[in-house]
Amino acid sequence: MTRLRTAAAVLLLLSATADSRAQNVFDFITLTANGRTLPPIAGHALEVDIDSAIAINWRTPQLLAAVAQREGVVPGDSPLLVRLQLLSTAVGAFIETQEKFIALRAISTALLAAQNANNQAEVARLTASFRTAVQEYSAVENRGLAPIGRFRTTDPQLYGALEAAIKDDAATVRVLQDYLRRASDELAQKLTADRALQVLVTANLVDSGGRTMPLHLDGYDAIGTGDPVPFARFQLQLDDRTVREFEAAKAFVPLVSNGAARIRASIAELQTALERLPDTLKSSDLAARLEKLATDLSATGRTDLQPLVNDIRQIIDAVTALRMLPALVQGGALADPMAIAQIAGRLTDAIRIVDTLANDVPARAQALATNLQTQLAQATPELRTAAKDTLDFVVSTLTQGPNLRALVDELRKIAAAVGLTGDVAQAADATSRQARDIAPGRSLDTSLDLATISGERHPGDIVNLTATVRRGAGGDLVTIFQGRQSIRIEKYGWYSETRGALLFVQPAGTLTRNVSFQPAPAIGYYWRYGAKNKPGLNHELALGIGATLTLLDFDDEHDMELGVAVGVTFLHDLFWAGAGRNLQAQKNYYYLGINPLALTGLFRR
Amino acid sequence: MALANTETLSDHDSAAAEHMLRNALAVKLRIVMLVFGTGAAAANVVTMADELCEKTQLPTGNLRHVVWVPKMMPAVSAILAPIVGPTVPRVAVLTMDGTLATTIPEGAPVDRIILEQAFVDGGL
Repeated sequence: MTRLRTAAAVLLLLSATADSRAQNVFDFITLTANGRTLPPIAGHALEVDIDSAIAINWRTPQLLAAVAQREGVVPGDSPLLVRLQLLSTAVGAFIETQEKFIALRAISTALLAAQNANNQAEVARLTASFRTAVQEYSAVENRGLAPIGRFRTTDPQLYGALEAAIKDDAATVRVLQDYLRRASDELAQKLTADRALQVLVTANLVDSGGRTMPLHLDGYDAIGTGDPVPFARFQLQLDDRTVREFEAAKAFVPLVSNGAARIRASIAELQTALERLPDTLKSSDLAARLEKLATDLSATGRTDLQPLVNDIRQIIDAVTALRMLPALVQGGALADPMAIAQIAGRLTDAIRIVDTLANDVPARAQALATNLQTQLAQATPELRTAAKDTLDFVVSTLTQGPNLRALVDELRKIAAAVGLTGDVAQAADATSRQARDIAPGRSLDTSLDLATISGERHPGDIVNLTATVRRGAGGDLVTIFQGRQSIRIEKYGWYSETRGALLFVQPAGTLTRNVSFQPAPAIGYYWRYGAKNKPGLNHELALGIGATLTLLDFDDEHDMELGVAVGVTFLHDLFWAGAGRNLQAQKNYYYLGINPLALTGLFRR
Repeated sequence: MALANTETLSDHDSAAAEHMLRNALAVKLRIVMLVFGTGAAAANVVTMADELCEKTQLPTGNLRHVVWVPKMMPAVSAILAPIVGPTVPRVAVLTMDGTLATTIPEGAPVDRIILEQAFVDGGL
């Protein structure tokens, strides 16, 4: 399991960061939710209210400057880049100055009230706060004035405009932004004169079960949205997630009752599909040849080839990950629900790996072959020929599509056998997205309105944003920057929700039949409390208190036996426990339960 | 032109100038810019400094204030010389605690950005 997850993580990471030296693209993006800036915290998900509108604004000048420096199009000390840097710093500072002044005004208002009330203690406290706020304001404005001072000699026209505007911070920002836009457009013109430069932003919602739903970002895709619907704090009706959880619980009943024969059969078919793959793909030969090519290219000492070497290493990792599949998918005992759920979690990763190999890697290898032939024009004929042969070999091996597609089909069959077809399949389906060209005067900004998501959203769901900056078009794409940012959505305060689970019900007294931890799918209605910035409390401890309804079978006298119980859920909504009564059999019972989809979600997210 | 944020000290009545100056410096939580001298150049500096005060209007009062000292009357000099030193500058800025933050010497270029920087050096 660990190895497959590692391999999958490597693949995702590699596809997310084309070059290990790459700067995180979110350094060039400002995220705000309902007007509040979301400061990025490295390695952690941000948090927003479940009904938020999230603005995704590019800091285009900084992005262009980074691209220019990365590609060496414009020297790092060029006047244009220096000007861009100075203007960016000043704009940021003067925008912040306005925020600081608002804070200062608020303290001043409170101080005046305290003075009027002759509340000396409060006056003393607020005076100290006032002085601190003044210091913060001046520190920020100093940051903005420093670059402005440099324009006195380098750009008298800009300096004159700022001199006229400086008595008003908002006017100063407008002048700075105007000149920053001009400098940015000039740089955009230079950077896109020969080859297209594009950005792509994607958003996906991942729920507690690991289901992925593509989300619409204006200007970057044609994904549908719905009418704005605020999250219902008091939810009584069964939503789709509850129905899926209930169905999964139902599907698990026979699995835990009579073993996993179906799954075993499907895994045997998977083995056959793997055997049908070309030997070159399964053996270490392909990876070894690619490794030799990467080593030979590195040995040339040419730094301009490094991005291509990194691309080759991505292909090596993809091939290596595929070779791990048979052992990884077969591993683990299949007789218990935990192992089955673990396999379901692995399947998504496995399908991603194979899909990457079938769909992404051949195109990447083809593009690499073209790039290398151009860039190796001055290299030895032997290296040029070896590079071409190796990459042609990769393409011809991987484009034997039917074999890889058969593998995907078998993986999906196993997913079907554990009752999880829909979401696993969806995870592998690509959604058409559209990159935007960077051009002078063109905005790259977009937004995500959580209220208009045309599907369900729940507290604890994760919005994954990815952003890519790339060169070229078609098969000749070179990634320059890439990155990913997760945002957890929360409902603050008390709210209720319905959930589904598989209960193991134990009668409290003696029955005529031998019933021991009878598996039974159940529906639960639970109350939860969403605390701000407490993901551990909200979704790891995840305490819910409520009631469950389940269909039982304690005796042969009743066609229908309804169990009503009170109970709790805890630990990632995974475990259920409680006690209740079989209304028809008139017997008390207690239960333990699991939520199968929450379990698979744990492994997938 | 009305100077809403400026007090001009008397250039002929030393006692009155001293009284005005002491009152101006006694106000708490305020940064004071002193402008020295007469003539068009000094008047221009005062006008620009007065404009810059407008951006710090708060419920508790304006954080910035300008005191124009056209002439160093003896009583005024007795108060200011220990603060600004023997050489009178064109501009001196005092912090909220009344200590000298920065000066702009006579003859140095002055514009709104330079004055804004001086106010910020004084605390805001």
